[in-house]
Amino acid sequence: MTQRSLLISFLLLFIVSTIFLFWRSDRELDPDQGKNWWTLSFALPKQVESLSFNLENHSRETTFSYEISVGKEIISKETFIAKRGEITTISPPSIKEQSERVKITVSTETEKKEIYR
Amino acid sequence: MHAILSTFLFFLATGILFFLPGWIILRLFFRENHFLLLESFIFSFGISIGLIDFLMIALGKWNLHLDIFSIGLGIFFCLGILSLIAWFNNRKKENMAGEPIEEKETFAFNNRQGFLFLLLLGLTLFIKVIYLTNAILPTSTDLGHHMYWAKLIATTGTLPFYAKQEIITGANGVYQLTDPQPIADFIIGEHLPFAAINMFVSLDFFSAFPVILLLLVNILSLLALFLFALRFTASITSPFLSKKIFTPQNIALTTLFFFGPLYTLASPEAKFVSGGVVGNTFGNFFIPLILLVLFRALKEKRPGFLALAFFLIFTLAYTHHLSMLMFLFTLVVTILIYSVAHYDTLGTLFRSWYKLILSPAPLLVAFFCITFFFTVALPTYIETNAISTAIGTPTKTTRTGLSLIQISSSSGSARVAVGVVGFLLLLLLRKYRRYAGAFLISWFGILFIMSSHPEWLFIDIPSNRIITYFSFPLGLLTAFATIAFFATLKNNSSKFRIPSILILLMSITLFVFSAGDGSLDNNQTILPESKAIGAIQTFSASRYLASNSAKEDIILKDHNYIVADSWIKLFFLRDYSFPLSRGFFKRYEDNPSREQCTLSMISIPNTESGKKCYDDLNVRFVIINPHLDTTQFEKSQQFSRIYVSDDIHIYERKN
Repeated sequence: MTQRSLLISFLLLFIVSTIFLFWRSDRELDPDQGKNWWTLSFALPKQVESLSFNLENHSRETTFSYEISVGKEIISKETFIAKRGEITTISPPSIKEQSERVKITVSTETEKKEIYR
Repeated sequence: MHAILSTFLFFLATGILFFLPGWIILRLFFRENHFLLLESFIFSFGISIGLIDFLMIALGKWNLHLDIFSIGLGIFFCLGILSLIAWFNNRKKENMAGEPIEEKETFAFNNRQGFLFLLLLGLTLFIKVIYLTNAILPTSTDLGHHMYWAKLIATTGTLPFYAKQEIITGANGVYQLTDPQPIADFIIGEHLPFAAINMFVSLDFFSAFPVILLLLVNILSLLALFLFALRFTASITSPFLSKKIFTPQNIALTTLFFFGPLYTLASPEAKFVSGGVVGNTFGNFFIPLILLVLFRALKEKRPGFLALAFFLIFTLAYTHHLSMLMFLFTLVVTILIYSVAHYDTLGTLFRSWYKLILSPAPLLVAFFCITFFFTVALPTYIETNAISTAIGTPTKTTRTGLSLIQISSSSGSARVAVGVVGFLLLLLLRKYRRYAGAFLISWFGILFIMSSHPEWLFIDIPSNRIITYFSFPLGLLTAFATIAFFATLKNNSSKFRIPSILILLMSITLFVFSAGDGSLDNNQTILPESKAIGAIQTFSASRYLASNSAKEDIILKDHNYIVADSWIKLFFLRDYSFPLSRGFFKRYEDNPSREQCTLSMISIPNTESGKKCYDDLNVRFVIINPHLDTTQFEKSQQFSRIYVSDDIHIYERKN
């Protein structure tokens, strides 16, 4: 067997391996592929009066509800839709800076996440 | 479809940058029959790496912006100059000098051997790829550190200044961040190839390409060892060994067996690839390549090969210091052993070396290397005097050497057992009188001493790093001993005749022992699951913070519990130490004089010491894993939780 054919065969093997590894890493890096997670964050973290928040949804859920509370008092409550693979921004009215903790709680049927100032 | 495009771009970039220039240089300065095709292939890669490294360093030092155009033009310019040199140097005359070249037929493969080569290589790739399936994502700490510098080069188009900020206690006990201080941990050659690929085809650092490039280097180092075995054993013969069995092809294929499918995942193989141990992986490619060309230069008395060896040694010096040290030790011991073995003809020997070294080609390359070294750029480890930290009596327990049991466990008991037999066999056959034997004996011997008794050589380097180099000569000697064993049994001139059935049984026993040991090692290394979900969350949080923080905002993250945390700095490119990091707990315990702020600010943020650290250092954001660290932040009124995912919380400290 010539070294040329050995070299070509090696390159072919390596190319196939490379395609597989790139395909695998693309799948792994795809936030939606086989994964189920979501994030909650303040949309404008530096503006202390803003209650706008982002929901980056990579879960199977699309219906979410949020609740805004100051201390123990709930001041706002809504349900909203967030499509999978998208960042949804919800912009409730701003409120003045409070001495008590202002909390945004977003929940699905099974899960709950909280951000606060 | 995206994977196929990425593959195309990867091969386009590696082909143009890391094979074509080297191939052209080989054809300019050497005849086609000087190298086997596989040799041309791996030498092209080594030469190209060196060329691209030195070109980028020179362009950067001359304040030229590094990008696809400057590098492309630089390659054309270098090849043009080299073409002129080749033309002036009358290459035919130059390369006619030396011993006759061994016939390519000596190294030809029959169909069965060719099939076995492909089978072993295919199996090796298959096992490595299976392992990398769960480790292909950019998550490893070391790779993150290296890709920070590579991305910095690609983004800024300039050479990096290897430095980082540190936390110190200033006047009046106030903690403060220093200006970036030089660090010796990194060498430019570890980063330039990755930066060049990104500049050429824009493949993202957050993709499989860094790991695939390391996999390519790892496989090429396997081929380098294979060719090393092929060339070396061609010059080792003995009347005790059957010439039918003891052939270069058989030994090279056995080497491939011991380095390919067996022990293919443990350090320094696939584990180093996925772990991003860039310098070692490149070093393990260059060491056998340099030994191979050096061996051929000495054996065939060919100055062109010596010039090539000089160039590759110089490339290694700009790629990895530890590998360079290992290589230099091996070279010095080889020279000593060979000189002692030829003490009766030392004058003739030194005259032949003198004649070889003082030929135009090696002198020209040496002149270029020395000029570059002193006028363009020194390797960072020399600039920062890092060598002194590796020399001296070892003090830490991790640097005082390994026992034979630990060496067996690290390198594989089958390889150690049979490899030691190979070493003794070479000594018994007095093969240290030949270059091949002297190289192998020295390589094995010096690494064994460095691993087991570093104090004898005043080496102060972690022993578990040194031992990873030991597997190379060990594997070669294992292959040598295995084939020599069967070649002795089948030797027609031997007085003892051993029945074929007994030879078959011995073969099966040896195969089962080595295959069992080697595959057990593989099984222990396979990763149970992917870290994708953790890494994705880390990247998402980093992206959020990168777009919602100002340049003056100081960020702190945890290294203990966050997946792929070392990659966070690639989103900011502000400093190697940015974000600040709470390191492994053991490091704070082992070194109480180390700064404690990064520990206090996450572990005990509400204590006086924690608050002082926050105030002094002006830390605004903290990234932690909520499963282990959230309580101390939740109960504090000082922190807002601004970002939440399952495995990441970001807190902002209120002013």
